[in-house]
Amino acid sequence: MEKFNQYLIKFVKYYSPIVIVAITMAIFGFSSESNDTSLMSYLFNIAGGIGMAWCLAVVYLFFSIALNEKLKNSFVRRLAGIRENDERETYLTGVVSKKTFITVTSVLVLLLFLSALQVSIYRPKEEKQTSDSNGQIAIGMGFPLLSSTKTLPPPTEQNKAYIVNYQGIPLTSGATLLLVTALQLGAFYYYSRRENKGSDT
Amino acid sequence: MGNLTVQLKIKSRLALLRADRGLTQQDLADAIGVTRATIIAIEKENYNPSLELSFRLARFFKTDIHSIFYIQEEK
Repeated sequence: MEKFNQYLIKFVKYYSPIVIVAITMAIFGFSSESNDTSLMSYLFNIAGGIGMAWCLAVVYLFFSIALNEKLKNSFVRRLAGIRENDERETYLTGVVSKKTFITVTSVLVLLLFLSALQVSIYRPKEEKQTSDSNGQIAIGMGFPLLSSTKTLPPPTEQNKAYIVNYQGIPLTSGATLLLVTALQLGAFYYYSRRENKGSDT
Repeated sequence: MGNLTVQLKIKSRLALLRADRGLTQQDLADAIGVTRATIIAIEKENYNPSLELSFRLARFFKTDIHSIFYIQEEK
């Protein structure tokens, strides 16, 4: 299994330029017709086939990284720049991991709060306006477990002119995950550099 | 018996011992199986080595741990 994984890693690494070329050709509108026998069309078909195999290999490798202990270890170590060549580096990895955990957890709690918070500041339309009040503020919390669940009425009600209408974090789930991953890696790099300053010449 | 809760700072004579023997930080690091950065950190008193590493250093310099490390009370 290890050999197979190593082979796939090499395949993904060394064949990525071909995949990039195939994607670039496709972006610029190149497509092969079934009756087209030109060399470019032939090469495009081969690159397309390699691209398909490459995509499957990438999917397999991402699952393996999540499930295979050895692969996970080597991938994350390389990604985060974890070095444990002696006892001091092992100790520092622990210190840095703790600081990173605290930082990321505090940001996650903040993101959780922001995703549940719903704030609306609006001015009722003329006919609905009562006495001398100018605007209204509505603050609420919503925590839908499924993305299709709707907890609040649509924000564009006819009788309200919204000044502020915040209904949770506007980022997509992909962007949020990217942000959290970048934050975690960034925090780890930052604390690693800071803790290693004591061993500079 | 003195106050046992007082803050203690572990001081190091490693740089002196190493210089006495004309060794570079890299030589010492290679001899005891750590990185040069660890030797630097110990010499600068930014890192307290484990007991095992302390014994390895003592054995390397053919001395005891107290000759390499000593404690100083923090005020």
